[in-house]
Amino acid sequence: MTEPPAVRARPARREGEGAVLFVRDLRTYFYLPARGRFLRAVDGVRLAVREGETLVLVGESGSGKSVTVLSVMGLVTAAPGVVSGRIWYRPPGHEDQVNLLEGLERFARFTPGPPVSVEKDNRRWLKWHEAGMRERRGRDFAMIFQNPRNALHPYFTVGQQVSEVIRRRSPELSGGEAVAEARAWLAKVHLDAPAKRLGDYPHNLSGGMCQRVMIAMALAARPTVLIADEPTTGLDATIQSRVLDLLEEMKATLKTTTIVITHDMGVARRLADRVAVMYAGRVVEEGPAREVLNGRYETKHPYTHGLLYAIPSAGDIREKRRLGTIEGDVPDLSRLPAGCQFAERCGMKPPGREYLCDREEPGLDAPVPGHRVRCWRHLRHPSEGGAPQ
Amino acid sequence: MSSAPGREGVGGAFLEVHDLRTYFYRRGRFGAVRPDDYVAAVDGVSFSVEEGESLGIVGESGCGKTTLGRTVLRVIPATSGSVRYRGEEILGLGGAALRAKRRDMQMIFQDLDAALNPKMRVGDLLAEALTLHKKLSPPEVRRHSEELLGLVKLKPAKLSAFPPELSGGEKRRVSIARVLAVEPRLIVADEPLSALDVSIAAQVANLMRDLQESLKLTYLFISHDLRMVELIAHRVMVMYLGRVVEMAPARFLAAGAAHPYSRLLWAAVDPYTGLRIEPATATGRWEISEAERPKAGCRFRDRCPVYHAKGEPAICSDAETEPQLTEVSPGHLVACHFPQGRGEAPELA
Repeated sequence: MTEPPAVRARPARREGEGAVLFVRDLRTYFYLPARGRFLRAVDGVRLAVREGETLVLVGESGSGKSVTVLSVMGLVTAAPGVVSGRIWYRPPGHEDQVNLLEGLERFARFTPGPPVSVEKDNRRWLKWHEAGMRERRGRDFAMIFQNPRNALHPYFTVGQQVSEVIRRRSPELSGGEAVAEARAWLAKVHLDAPAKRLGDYPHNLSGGMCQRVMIAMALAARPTVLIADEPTTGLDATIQSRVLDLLEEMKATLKTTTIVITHDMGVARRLADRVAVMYAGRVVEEGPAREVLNGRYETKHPYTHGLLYAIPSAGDIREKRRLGTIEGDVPDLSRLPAGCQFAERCGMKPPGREYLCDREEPGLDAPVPGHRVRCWRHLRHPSEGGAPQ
Repeated sequence: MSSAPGREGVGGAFLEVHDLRTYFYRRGRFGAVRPDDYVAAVDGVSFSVEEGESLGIVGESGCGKTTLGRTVLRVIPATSGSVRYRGEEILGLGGAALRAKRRDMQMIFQDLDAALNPKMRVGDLLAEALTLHKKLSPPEVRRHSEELLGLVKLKPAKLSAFPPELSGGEKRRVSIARVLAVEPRLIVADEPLSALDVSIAAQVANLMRDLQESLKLTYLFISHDLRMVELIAHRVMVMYLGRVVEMAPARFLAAGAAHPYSRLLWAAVDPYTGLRIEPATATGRWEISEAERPKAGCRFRDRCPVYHAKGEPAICSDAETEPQLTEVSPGHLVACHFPQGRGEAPELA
């Protein structure tokens, strides 16, 4: 495969240094024929995941967090799908990063506009992309899906499904060895009577048990990057807490690089090393979990503040306070405003500089090292010269 | 804080439920009911609620909280027991008498897409509810509908929208407006916040509290979100496999839950809120399947850390000594042979 020179963009390599996965300027659009417009589900996302680290993507529905990881996995099949960006991935034992979106420029011509224009031969792109991704999925990247009952195959036993993953990873193992290992994985995720569970079908198991089988399957592949999409949604509170315990335990023992998608700040707080907050297809804040989720001074973006205050705290409950709310609704992703996407709902615009919010969208920049934010409160506009605030 | 009435209830309570049971019988061949083969979804629940109070009902899926709410409103027939609304038994009512009561008692359903007919405009949905019990002229309907939308903080322009055009939060508001149309006094809200995004759930939670204050509503607030229940409810009732295992003032449970199951539930709450008591215990089963539900003795024992720690005492599995709700401190009732942390419940930090 010959790489066009443009792919080896220097800044990307330097920025993503040490990252197992470095997503840069990812854009995934869908076409709405009824409105004749593009739905910009993911619009310029930048993410970096370092080895052994857990990155949590938080955001409400429609923020683009799921589409981001589906794009990374090469699972977006609707046209036009991924239209631009680089996904730098460093396979285990390699020094060099490879671009998973290698060759995208040959199939897609994208103009950010306005007006936005996309010309993409999606069928040929998918065929080309699939050839590279098929080997990686389930080996380099494993995924825990939101609905475990639908993600498991109803016609195969748990033992068959888990051992299939193991044999795919290590084809030299015999069937018996693979089943023995499957049993060990089931024990690791605290399923009782794992030997008996091997012969069970998914419908014999409860939702929490299915979720643990999913986790066992994902981990048995020994992936470089584990992706968990809402791993606790739909489970009961006590089971949720156990699944989180389990993910924490696996994080400590296996040191798998993990991306977790959630809308639950509690989940983020328990699992995250770093947090990326998404809104309207963008990352609006990204940084160390203890800073981003701090809630007071270190949380930077007004949207993150809003999310944190929308959850009842001990004080809210004690004093029966009203909850903090973010007024309004998420913007229409096919008709995004010109300035900051959050401006319409924002109650924390920078005094005296509000005009910036409606006029120009801020970039994702770091006012303090390692903590990026997309907000004029914390960033300086080129026209301003001096330091903000 | 209202003084929490006990199991027997106080005479003249607004809503008084006594020993309510709802069993679902499995049917044999040819549709014959098999009297021994049933699921006890609600199995001997008693409580009472005062006017203007909101009682939170929590528990995991399958604990019978939704069935309880539906049985109280007579959406599902009760097997036995009594439900007294303002002193009047409503389980035996039928026909016009029941319809008259229904006006006072409404339900907010969990599934928004099922609750709102997608082919009817918001205005028609509200008009349908408004004219159910009252005769109103079209301009009056229009005026009332706009008032209702105002109550739930929606713009009158939404009257001409179809439900699929609305966001989740707006649909929830319309469903609340529709319920308010008949001017109910008791509202059973079944997971009203569950399908909503964090920021929208907060808006709806604030709205429900405002409405309760301004309209003097009484809520049975069914939810699995403990934090929201604590915020909205005055008292909380914890259910497990059809039984009430604990009942206490809302602010008391987070730090002072006495039943091992409640403690497990609250231990699962986000530690950020400062409500976490102890990490989920490693002993005991994670969950039990339908077939393994115990029908006698303490139902929680298979998953109970205390039962295992105490060497599986016979008193827990004996059908004769099934734990009953008893008062451990004023207003705090627990159904457990070994209530935890009694008398040493720490103050909330």
